[in-house]
Amino acid sequence: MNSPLRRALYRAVRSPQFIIGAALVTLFVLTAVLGPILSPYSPTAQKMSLRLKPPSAEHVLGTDDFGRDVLSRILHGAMPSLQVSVLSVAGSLVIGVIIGLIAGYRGGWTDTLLMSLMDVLLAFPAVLLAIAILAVMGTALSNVILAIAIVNLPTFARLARGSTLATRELLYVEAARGLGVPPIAIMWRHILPNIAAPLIVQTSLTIAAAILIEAALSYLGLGIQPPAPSWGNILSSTYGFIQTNPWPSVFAGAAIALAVLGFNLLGDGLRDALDPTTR
Amino acid sequence: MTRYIVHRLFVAVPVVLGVSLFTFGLVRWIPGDPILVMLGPDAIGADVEGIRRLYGLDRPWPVQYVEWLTNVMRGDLGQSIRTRMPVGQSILQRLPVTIELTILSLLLGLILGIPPAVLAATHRGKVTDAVVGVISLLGISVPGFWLAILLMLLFSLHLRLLPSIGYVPLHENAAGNLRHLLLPALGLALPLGATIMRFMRSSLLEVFGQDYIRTARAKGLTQTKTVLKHALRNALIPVITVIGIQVGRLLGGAVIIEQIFALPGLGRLVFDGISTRDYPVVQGTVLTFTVIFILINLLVDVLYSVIDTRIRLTAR
Repeated sequence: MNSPLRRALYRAVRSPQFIIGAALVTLFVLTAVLGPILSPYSPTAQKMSLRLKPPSAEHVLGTDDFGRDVLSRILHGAMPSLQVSVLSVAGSLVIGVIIGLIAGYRGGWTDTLLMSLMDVLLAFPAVLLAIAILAVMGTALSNVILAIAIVNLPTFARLARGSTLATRELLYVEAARGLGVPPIAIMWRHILPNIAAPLIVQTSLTIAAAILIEAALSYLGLGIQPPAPSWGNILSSTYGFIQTNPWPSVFAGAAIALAVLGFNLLGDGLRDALDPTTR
Repeated sequence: MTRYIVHRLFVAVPVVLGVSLFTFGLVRWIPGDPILVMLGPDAIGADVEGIRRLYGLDRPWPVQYVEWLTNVMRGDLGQSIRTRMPVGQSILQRLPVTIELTILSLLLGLILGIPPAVLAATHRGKVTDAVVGVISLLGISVPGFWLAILLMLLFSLHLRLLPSIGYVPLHENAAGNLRHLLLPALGLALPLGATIMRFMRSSLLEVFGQDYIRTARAKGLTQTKTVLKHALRNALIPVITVIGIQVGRLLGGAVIIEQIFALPGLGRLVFDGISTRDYPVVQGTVLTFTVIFILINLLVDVLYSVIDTRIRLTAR
């Protein structure tokens, strides 16, 4: 990692946005990892005598329509949300950056072809594209990750291409080319470190968006399949009983909002530190 | 002007073709045989072959694609497997609901987004700015459909001010239509408004740094006049593009919102199509949604070039 980037990250660490964001993200990750250990009940254990109870001492966040403990379900629901959002964005980041680097560096027909493909993906409303992919492929966890990765792919490809175009003509890249450094090495060693800053910011913001898309897909029954809990499917399964007991909906939605807020704050904090023009 | 529009249309053609190929391919990717899905598990071999030939599925896929595309361009999107109704007809029936919902959400998003952005930008670094910043950050982080559920809980179930579910056509009862669409539209408009707030604030701040704003102030214009007559219009230009892209989020969000509020729109149609494995319906609806999205962005680009002459002149 080059030193301006490290200096900027050091600057980011001191901004309140970054600190609150990092705290929320840490909380989210800890919940996902430790949730199953911390949860007081099994997330699928039903007790019909305790249906739709409001928060109480035994069931801190109340119970749902099957008498299941809402706190346990929310704690168990953190892991699928984290898995889907982080893995899908990692996928779009890696593939998107490769596409963007090649398109931006090679230019010409390669560029036109790759970017047209990205434009086609971008032409679909995002959630709808994910819905369509899952409708035909089935709702396995790996398909949910793949669908969200495809949806976010063009964002990273375009960003990487744009930055590559700006970097390609810089003197040190030209010098490397003149010395006969092979294109792959130029892209990896000289261009990538210079386009990393906006990509890091975008990764954080896209994870936030991916959590929202996963929740929406699970709500529609296309994400994590019940009885396994996820924040989205807790919302949809308890929605019908909202008049009797709104608490499960309130808490599941709040969990989604906090996780998304964490990554948005982290992204904002990083952007302010990495991009001096927005200050 | 005409030249620019022609150029934009020309650029959109490959994208639309790509979208159509992808949507066509969707149904090809279904694991298993669509004919078997259609006929059910009791189908006899001869029937399967007969129907395969009837639907032209025995021919190579490029031929099928061209034929499908020709039909689509004539407005024939095929037939629903479940109801046997022409898909195009179902879409036309449900289109107004989704269009009304989208337009109302867009209007509400602008109303909710722009005034706070102006306040924040004119009070940069003050408490107002910070408050608007926190609100807009919460707005983009909270799931819109969850907000809609909470609003429904408050306004429909507790206060009983608005209907919780259902739909009244606009031409039958305009007030009733608005009452039914208000909550679902708010669910879509709050995240949109928050996004507009963020972009509008930074766009305004950029405009405030320009020479013509300094000139306006120097010639003695009041703060209000400077903002309203000079800054706002110019700051809106980049925001328009953002709004065009955000329409994609509105259309995607409509699928969930229509489900929650039992609105008989395109989102319901695609959702029902998925749950009943009615692939022609899914295919037709996804295509319609996407074409609407592309057309809106085309419109935004043209609008953009009308407002900002520089765009038109630099485009080839």
